[in-house]
Amino acid sequence: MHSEESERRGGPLPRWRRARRVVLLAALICLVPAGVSYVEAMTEEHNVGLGVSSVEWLRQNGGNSIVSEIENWYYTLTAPDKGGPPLKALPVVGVQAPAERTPVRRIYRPPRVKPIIHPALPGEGVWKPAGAGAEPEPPVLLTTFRSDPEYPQFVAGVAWIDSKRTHLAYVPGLDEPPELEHRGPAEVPPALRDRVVATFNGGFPLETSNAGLIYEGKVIAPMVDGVATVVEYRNGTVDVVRWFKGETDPPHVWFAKQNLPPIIYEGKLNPDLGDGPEWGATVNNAVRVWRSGLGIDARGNLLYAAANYQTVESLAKVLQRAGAVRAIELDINEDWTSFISYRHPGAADPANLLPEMFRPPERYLTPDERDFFAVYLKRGQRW
Amino acid sequence: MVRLPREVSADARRRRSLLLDLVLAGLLAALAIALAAGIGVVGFFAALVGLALLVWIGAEAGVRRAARRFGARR
Repeated sequence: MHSEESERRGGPLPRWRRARRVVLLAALICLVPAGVSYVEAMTEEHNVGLGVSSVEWLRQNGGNSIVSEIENWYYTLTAPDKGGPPLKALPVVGVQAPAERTPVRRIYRPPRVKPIIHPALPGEGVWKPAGAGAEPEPPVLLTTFRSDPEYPQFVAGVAWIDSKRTHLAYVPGLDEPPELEHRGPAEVPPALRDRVVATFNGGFPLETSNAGLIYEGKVIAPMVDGVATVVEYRNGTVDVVRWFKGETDPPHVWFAKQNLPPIIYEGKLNPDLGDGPEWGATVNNAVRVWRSGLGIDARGNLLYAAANYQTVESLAKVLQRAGAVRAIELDINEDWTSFISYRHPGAADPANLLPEMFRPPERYLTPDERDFFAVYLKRGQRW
Repeated sequence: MVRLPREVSADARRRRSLLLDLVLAGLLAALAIALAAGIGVVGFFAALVGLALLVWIGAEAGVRRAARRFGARR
């Protein structure tokens, strides 16, 4: 009470109180530029809630490791238990295929994904067309299956994309990539909606992916050797590769989006799927969250997979089981994982690959923060 | 010429010490902003520290008021 009396008498504040006052004032001063930056960011165009936008603002302003650490704690504390009652049915995906007619010519269809858990549920691993009236040669096929015997309630969704009938486009978002001269509409352009058959999320933001980007033939961020890369060449061919062409842009590359090391390479799982700095500044690889990935099968067709409660390893196994020989991990977390197929021309009747996907199926029909991929029918291909 | 020491009022002494603390706080804030990875980190920790100190000061004032009221009743 000595100090209080001294204060009351108009005497000097004790040292510890002055120190506290200095720290409080410093905190208030620091909040001024931070508040200005935050308000500026929040008043920009967004299609996510205030919470997600705030977290993204923190990530983009040096707080990535804080966010990742908090996410690690949260997901570890809320990790699902093994086992549980068996599922009785799988979510309905795609459209009902009409009765098989005698095909005019042999059409390739990927083999059914062999179920892991027995007895298999009706339709488990069976491919269904994503769009109505797309028979006999649907450009996109969808299926679901239970991917982990220890967690029999988890369902993975997989999409197969016919590379002969479609071409892949990389679409920059409103905020990602951050530095870009010609950003575009950050949504499926209205002029191309007649040909869009599917859209899906991109990879990690550049600042967390330890990786590079080539867009419209120009290097936006220096490419990194050894990193998994979705690449489209100027002749329209798409591939998922491990990049070994240096930092610059080879003349035949139209776009190349990198993200972390490959999770499957030459048919085998990456032997180093544990945690390490090469896996980006994000939640640990063993943490079970929504994860997504893109692979390529031995015939050059793309395979997209996503599911909740996945580790990097379990996601890689989903893609491998579906037939991927090379694969890259894409975005993670429920806010960023989306695969949307359009059941009718004109981007009509959009549907998420899995019903529990958090973002609405209209996500890429309005400007989106993040970059994404759009799958269009090639010119001359009928719906 | 030698000036005789002036009598400084308690209020003036308080104002001077507040000014000095403000200058120190400004320097501390500038250092934090310069060293941090970004303004987001600065804002995050400033909000946490500021909130904690305000709660501390508020709790202290509450305890003091309650003690005074309790003492007056006795």
